Amino acid sequence: MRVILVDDSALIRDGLARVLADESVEVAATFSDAEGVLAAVRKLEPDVLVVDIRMPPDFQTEGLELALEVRREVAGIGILVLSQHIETRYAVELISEGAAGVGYLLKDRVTNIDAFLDALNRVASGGSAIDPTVVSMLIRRPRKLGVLDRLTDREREVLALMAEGHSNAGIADQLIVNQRTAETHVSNILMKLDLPPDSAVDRRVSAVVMWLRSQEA
Amino acid sequence: MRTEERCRISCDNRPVEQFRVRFSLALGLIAAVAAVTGALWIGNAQHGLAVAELVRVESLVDDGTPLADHMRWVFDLLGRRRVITEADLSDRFEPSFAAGFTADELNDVLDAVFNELGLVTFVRYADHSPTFARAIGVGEFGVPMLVPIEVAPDGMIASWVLTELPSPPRLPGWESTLVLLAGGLFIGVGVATLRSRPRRTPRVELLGAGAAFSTVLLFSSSTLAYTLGRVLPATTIVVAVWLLLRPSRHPLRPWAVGVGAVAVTAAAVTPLTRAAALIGHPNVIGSIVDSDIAYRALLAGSEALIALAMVLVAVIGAAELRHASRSRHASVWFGIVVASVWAISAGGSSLDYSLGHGSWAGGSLRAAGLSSLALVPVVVGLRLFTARWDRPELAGLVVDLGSAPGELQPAVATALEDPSVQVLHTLDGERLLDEGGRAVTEADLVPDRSLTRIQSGERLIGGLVHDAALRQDAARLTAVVAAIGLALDVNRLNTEVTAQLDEVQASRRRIIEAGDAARQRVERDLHDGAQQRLVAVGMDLQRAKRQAETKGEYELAELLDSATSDVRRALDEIRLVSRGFHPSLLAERGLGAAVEALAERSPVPVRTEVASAGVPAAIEKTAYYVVAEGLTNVAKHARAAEASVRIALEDGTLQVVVSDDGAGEAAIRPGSGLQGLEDRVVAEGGRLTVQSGPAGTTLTAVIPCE
Repeated sequence: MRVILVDDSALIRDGLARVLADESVEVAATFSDAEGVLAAVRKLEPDVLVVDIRMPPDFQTEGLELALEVRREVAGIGILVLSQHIETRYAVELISEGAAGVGYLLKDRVTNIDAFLDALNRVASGGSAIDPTVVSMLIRRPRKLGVLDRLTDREREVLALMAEGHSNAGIADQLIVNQRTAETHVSNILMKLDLPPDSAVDRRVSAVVMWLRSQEA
Repeated sequence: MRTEERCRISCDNRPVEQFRVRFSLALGLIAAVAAVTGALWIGNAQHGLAVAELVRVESLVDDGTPLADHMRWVFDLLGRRRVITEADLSDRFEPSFAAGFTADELNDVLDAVFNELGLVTFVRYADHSPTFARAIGVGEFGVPMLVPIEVAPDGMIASWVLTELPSPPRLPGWESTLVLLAGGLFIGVGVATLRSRPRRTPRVELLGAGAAFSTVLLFSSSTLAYTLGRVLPATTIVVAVWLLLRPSRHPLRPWAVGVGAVAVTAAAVTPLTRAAALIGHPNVIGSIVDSDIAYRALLAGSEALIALAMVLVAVIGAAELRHASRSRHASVWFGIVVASVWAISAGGSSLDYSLGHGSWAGGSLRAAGLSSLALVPVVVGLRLFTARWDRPELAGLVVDLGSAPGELQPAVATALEDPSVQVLHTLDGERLLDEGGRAVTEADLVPDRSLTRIQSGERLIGGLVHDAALRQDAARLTAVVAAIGLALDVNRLNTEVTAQLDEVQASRRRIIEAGDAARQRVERDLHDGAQQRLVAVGMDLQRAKRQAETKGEYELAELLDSATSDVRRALDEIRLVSRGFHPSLLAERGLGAAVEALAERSPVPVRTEVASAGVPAAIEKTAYYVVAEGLTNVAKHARAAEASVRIALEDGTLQVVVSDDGAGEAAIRPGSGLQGLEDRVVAEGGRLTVQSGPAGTTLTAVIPCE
């Protein structure tokens, strides 16, 4: 797998490059800001672009804009946005044009190499990776109507993993159950929430996140 | 150059003031009575003299002196004549002339003639002398007339000499009395104003009095005096017009100045027309016209001019009403009424002269005219009296200053009745500056101007450049200066307090901005430094852990993993702190998104409604902190089932309301988060209120957005 790293902090760039090198992931190029990234992506054709959301010059959402631009310009590339702070709004903005090959993670996740690589792989293969913090915030958000009360605790765990972008197999792995059990949970949840049964993970992410947003008080 | 006086407030000058008013009025009254009495006495003295001359004429007729000599003597004595020729009479009395006359017949004829001429009562007097007859009646101006008749030796009438005696055989006629009364009142008012009105030496009143009293000259046997006596009283009209034209001291508008000039000119022409109409009377000018029609035309024209002048005065008065202060309305109305009555009477007189004498209308209209002449000084005196008594200008000044403290000049000009008054200000408490910022000192003043300094305690706070004559009305000047001093002081204090408030507001804002900047810097430093470094350390620890695992050093791997967990916790804690420091979402996505994010993190369900389009960033930030603090309090203390946030822009004011249904006992307490929040809201010129009770708590911030 080939990635391009964009982060204004040299510490992060170098540290991440070392981590990825250990895991035989090729770092094709690194950038400290958005300048020239699109051209490099076109030229080097990486599997994933890993980008910090806050970058020079204004330290606002330059990374987010770069991610959306690259996604529009370059088909099939995976994009993983890292952020020091998690805002559900940015996650929603990021998947607003589809969740396929898109990830939004808290930067701290790179200190859990297995989970990070898992997310990177999902994004690279056209799946999604939404930070558990975002999902838990969406699920935890108090709702007057109590729609989520219809779900069992287990189902709620499964719902969170669905929103994070895990496949049925991934869910089974995480919960240490067999895949069939996981699938049953998933279809039950989709039925209870009145969502269409869809096997494509990325569309499931979009559907679940949007549903959670729409049910907010 | 005058040395300026320091005017100080004196509160107890009112009794002195009242005494001075009474004193002046008493003095004026005495002067008026004395003047009229004196004039009547002089008139009567002259009367006696004239009667003596009359007797001498009679005795001459009786002693057999040739008639021609008598008549020459009479003509010399009288020094004037208007001859009615034989032809004048023969047209009307043809039959009688042919036959000659007896004395009785002559008297009958003369009776008829004088009646015909409108010369009133004919008194038969010369029964004992067929050659000389006299008629005494009241003439046109109320002056008795002697009419000697020359009769030829053959009994035919040679000529009639129609003349006007300079002496009345009785007290002056009512017309003269009215004129003298007016003169006396002019004198009285003039004297009363001597000590009171600073700006007005009573020149005009005295001039009017002099002109009126010149009527007395009619009783003199000197032709020069008689001429003046005929002409000068007409100048009282000029004086009257002048007095009526200045009921207030506001500068007249250009058109009014023009109209006033025409009025004064018209009035001023009347003495000339009077002079021109001196035909047939003993005078030094001579008979400019010798026909009755021309004579009447001149007098009719003269009256018409007076009528015109008075109409113009009334017009200016009516225009003045709109600009005059309420306290002056009465006197302006009085002027208008006097001028109108006078205009009507003069118009009537003019008609009377044009159409012929003797009508009752002419007489009564003239009486009205003369009465209103006498009213002019009365009105002026009344105005003087009420103005001094009530000081309406001062009350007006205080009211004006209260309603528009910045508009000093017009109010002061009204109060001092000095339109040219200049209000000076000072920046350094030493130099006085005019409106254009030029320094003004006593040396810069033209002769009739004077400078008064206005002080607050020992401090110079302003000045007035005004008519030097105002110095004499020290009470008024002191009062006005005191009022201006108060107004300037209030203005100054106002300005100072406002400036200090602005300063406090600005410094409060600076403190909060400095705090925000510091927080932002800390947040940025954490982000660029500690957070990144911790992440890097975490990654390296994880790499080390994996390497330890590969080497089978599981204990070390476990240790490294635990260290990584500590690093993650540290990152979580830093994030919690730094996120509160700087709401980046607010800058990046606006108030709506930032409030939404706050609601998301709230453990209590929050309904949000945010409409803040066009609100300045600083105020959005304040609103954000209100919501953040409000929701934090809801989470901490309220035990609420739900909360709501409502942000709306209404009439240029941002309303931020955070409410919950819990049982809070929230209040703004020193050192609390709410107090810090209040500082923030007040720094933006807003207000923060907390209403807390069993039914819930409502936190409301109202912030103006210009």
